[in-house]
Formats: sequence, C-alpha cells, structure tokens
Amino acid sequence: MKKFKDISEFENLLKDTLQGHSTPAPPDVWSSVAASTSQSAGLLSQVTTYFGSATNILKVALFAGGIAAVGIVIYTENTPEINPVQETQDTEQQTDTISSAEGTETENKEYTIATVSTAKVNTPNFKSQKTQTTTSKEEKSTDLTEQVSSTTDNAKNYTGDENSNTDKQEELPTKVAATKLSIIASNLKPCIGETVVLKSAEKGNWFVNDKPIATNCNLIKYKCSEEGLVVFKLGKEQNSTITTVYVQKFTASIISNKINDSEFSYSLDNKSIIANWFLDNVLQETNSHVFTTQIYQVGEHSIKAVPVNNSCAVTIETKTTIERKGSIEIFDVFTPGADGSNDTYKVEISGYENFSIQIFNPAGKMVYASQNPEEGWNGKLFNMGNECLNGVYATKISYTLNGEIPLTKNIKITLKRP
Amino acid sequence: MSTSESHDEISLIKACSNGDSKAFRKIYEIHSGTMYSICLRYMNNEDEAKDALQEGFIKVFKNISKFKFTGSFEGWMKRIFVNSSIELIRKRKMHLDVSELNSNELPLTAKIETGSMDAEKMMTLVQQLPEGYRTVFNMFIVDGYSHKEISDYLEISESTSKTQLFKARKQLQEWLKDWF
Repeated sequence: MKKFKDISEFENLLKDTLQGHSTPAPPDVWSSVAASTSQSAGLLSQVTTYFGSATNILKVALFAGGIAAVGIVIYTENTPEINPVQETQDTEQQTDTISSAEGTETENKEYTIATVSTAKVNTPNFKSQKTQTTTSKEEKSTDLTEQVSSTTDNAKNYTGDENSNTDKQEELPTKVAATKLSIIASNLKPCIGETVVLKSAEKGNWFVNDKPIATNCNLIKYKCSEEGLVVFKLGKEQNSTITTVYVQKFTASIISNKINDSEFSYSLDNKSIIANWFLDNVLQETNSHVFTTQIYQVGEHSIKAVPVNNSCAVTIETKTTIERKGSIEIFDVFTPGADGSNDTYKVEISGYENFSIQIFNPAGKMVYASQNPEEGWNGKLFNMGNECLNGVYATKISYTLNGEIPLTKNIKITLKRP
Repeated sequence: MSTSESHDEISLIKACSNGDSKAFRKIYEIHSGTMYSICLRYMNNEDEAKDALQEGFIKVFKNISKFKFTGSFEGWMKRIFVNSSIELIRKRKMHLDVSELNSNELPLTAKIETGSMDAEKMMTLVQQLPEGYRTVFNMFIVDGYSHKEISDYLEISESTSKTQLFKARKQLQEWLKDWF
C-alpha cells in the first residue's frame, strides 16, 4: 500500500493524475454539439429531409393502384415520343389510346414501333398484308377509326403523314441533297428502354434489321428492347443507306470487400464506371470507382452507387450487416463471504466502449462506483470500508457495447451474506 | 507534443475557425475525453457532466476564432469547460454558503484499506466531495486557479474559498487517514 507523507503529496499526485485524466465522452454528446453548431450538419439534415419526402411522394404514387401506375408509366413513356414530333392535340389522344390498346398485342413483337401516327397504323398493316383489319380493333379511338377508315390505302394514309412531316422537314438540322439519302439518328448508343428517333430528309421505306417497318415516311421511332446492334435501312427507289445503332445494356454491381471488422471497401465490377457513393443515403464519396468507409454501428447498412459517367446507368445498391461485437451479462444476486463462489459482484461485459456502475444502499447512499468492469465490488464500502449489510441495492449500469447505442440499466442487486 | 502534431493542431484550429465541421469533429475526438473528465469532476452526475460537455464544445466552436495561439490550446479549452461547468452549477442556484455546506452529510466515511491509488479512485474521491468543497478543490488544486480567481468566478469571498479548500482537505484526510 502506498503511503503519502502528507495531504500535499497526495494533492500533487492527484493534480498530476487528474489533469491529464480522460473519460470517454458519451457518444450522444457529439450529435447534440454538431446539431447546434455545424452549418453543414444543418444542411445535411435538410437534404435528408428532402430525400425522405421525395421517397414518400414516390410511395404515394406507387400506392395509386396497379392500373393507375400502368397508366402513368405508359404516359411517361409516350410523352417524350410525342414532344419532338410536335403532334397536334388530337394525335396525342390517339397515341394514348393506341398505346394502351396495343399494349398486349405488341409485347411479343421483336421491336416496338412508336412512330406516332404512322407506325400505329403501319405496324398492323404490315402484318395484315395491307388489308384494313386495323379498323376492326374495338378499342381504337373514334378519331383514329375515322382516320383509318377514310384512308382507302396506305398511300393515302401516308399522305396524311406527309403533310405533318413537311413541317418538320424545315426543322431538320441538316438539309440533305435530294439525290443522296442519309439518316440522322438521335442517339447512336441508346440504352435499353430508350427511344431513338431516326430522320431523313427524303421519304423512303424503312427496314430494321432487314425487316420492313414503314414505307414512304421520313421519320421513325425505335424503342430499344434488347442489347446489341440494330441496323436501320432507308431505301428509296434504287438508293439506300444504312445506319447502325448499338443498344447498350448497363450492367454493374458492387463488389464488397471487408478490410477489417469495421472497415469496408466497395468497388464496381465494371471498371469504366465511376459513381457517387452513399452510405445509408448520405453522400460520402464522389466520382470514384472505389469507396472505402468505416462502418461501426451494429445492424444493416445500405451502400448505394449512383454512376455518373454512363447514361444508361441506374443506382446500384448493396447491403452490409455489422454483427454484434460486444456482450453483457448482468446478475442480480450477490453472496460475498469468501466461500470462493460469487465473492465479487461483477458484470460480465466484453466488446465495450464505455462502462460505469454505481451501487446504492437501501438508504440511497452510494457504496460503490467504478468504470472498470474487471474490478468488481467486494461488498464493502467502496471496496475499502465497512461491510455492507444484506439488502437490496439499487444499481445503475451504463454501458456502450461496440457499435451500439449507449444503454443504462437500473437493476436491483440482492446482497446476501451466508 | 511533436512538431508535426503542433502543426496539425494549428491547422485544425484554423480550419475550424473557418467553419470546417470535419476539423471541429477532429478537435472533439481529440479533446472530448479530457474535457469530459473535467466536467465529471465538477458536476454531480454523468447527466450534468454531459450537459456541461455539450455547452463547452458549443462555446469552443463559437469562440475558436478568438483563440490567439499564445498559450496552449488545451489550456484554453479547459478554462471553457470549467466555466461551463460552473455556469451550470450556478444555474441550479447552488449557493456556496457555509451553513449549507456544513449541513451536508459526508457520504464517504470509509477508511481506504485495499488497492492502489489510481485515477479512477481519485475521480471517485473528488466526486464524493460535497459540491461546495468540490468546486473550490477542483479549481484550486487540480486546475490551478488562485483564490482570487475562484472568488471572482464563484462570486464568493477569498476567505470563503480558502475555508472551503481547508474543509475539502480535511475531508480527504479523513477518508485517507490510513494513507499517511
């Protein structure tokens, strides 16, 4: 036992010891401090709120029911097709009607032609060998039925298109000499699901992968459905020209790599892709192929990569689960008595950041306090004084297991001496 | 502290003055343990100590641009945390008058029989001192304030400060009588 010469010697030791003393701060203090000081923390929470509400809006939209949702999707898909063509209001209505009517019929077709009015009529016409069976479709709008009925043959039908296309010819960015055919494609590397608009200065017959799809028109739209090369051919009399479009499919997934218990590295299997990385929906890293981060909190975490250099890219997500690292076992009976068993009251805890125990006697006086779970209470006042009497001792145990939130347990220990 | 660490600290402080929240986080990580220990010494329990710690760090962040690099940064911070602890004690309308202090029962009457004197035991001993004694004892013995400064901070007379220190010492001597 160390003895002190006098109180001053003790005080000097105490001063030296306590001046540099450090107790791990409770983890929740930082969040309060950050919330009331950091501007960026405020901004972050605003962004989070925004994302939260955006998600909510999306959820509400999805809840609007199956049919409604399908309607929205179809409308959304059609909208960009309509706008560049600048159809009249009437034509837009037709498009909607036809799209929904043809939805099931065209599903299994090799390609879906979405040329607004031309294609709607053309596609079935090709199948039906230029007979007017299209008019038998009950679901067609009255407008369209009238239009189709009024056309005696396809040539007349296209004549209608010629009129609308005449306007557009003037808008074409490059005027091509009448003698030379050429195709202008809106996108040579589209993604699956995107629609490519192909224009020509001259009207002609269009072929996709050698299959005829439209005649005597100067604009078609092609909806890309599968990966690979698509060859568009425009023929007029003896002349013909081809344009190829490569439909891209975006494939990338996140490769997770565990560096150690709390450090993880994520990369994309597609080496050419760089992305912005989100951990639990908070932006962590920008424009990077690889993302390395510490994840400490126990539980499931979401890692999202939003690719930035690929137009076909979609958000990729993976999950990482952090297993529990610590454990605690608290007993409520204590029988000191030097009989070799249960002589010291100890909390069995492992894998922890913080631990503190305070024991109070039935009169409410503290009899033991420690931040060291190894030490244990031997039943004496602060392990040094008189033996404490049998009874129920209120005990406050605060702890933080690694990667978990801080917890405080108030329990009662029954002290029984034999 | 090595030169590189000092440079780090200076650049951290400067970054923090410019509102860099990451730098502030780093400062928090480096110093929160020591500062929490100070708050624990002054306050009655962990909850109060947490409040003092929080208030202190908010003050540090707001005032860090006023730090002039003339003394140690840690010393500057320590004063802030002692201040915020004392402010909180004062907010609880704790009066340091002698009659009240005398009425306090002494919670720890034990003789120290076993174990060595380590930091945790010292913390416990200090924490067990009645609040009035404890504040003066902490300020004078551990944190190096003079009786004049203590009397200004606590708005008590210098002689009260001295009396309380004397009583704190007496109390400790009683608890530690087997150690001398």
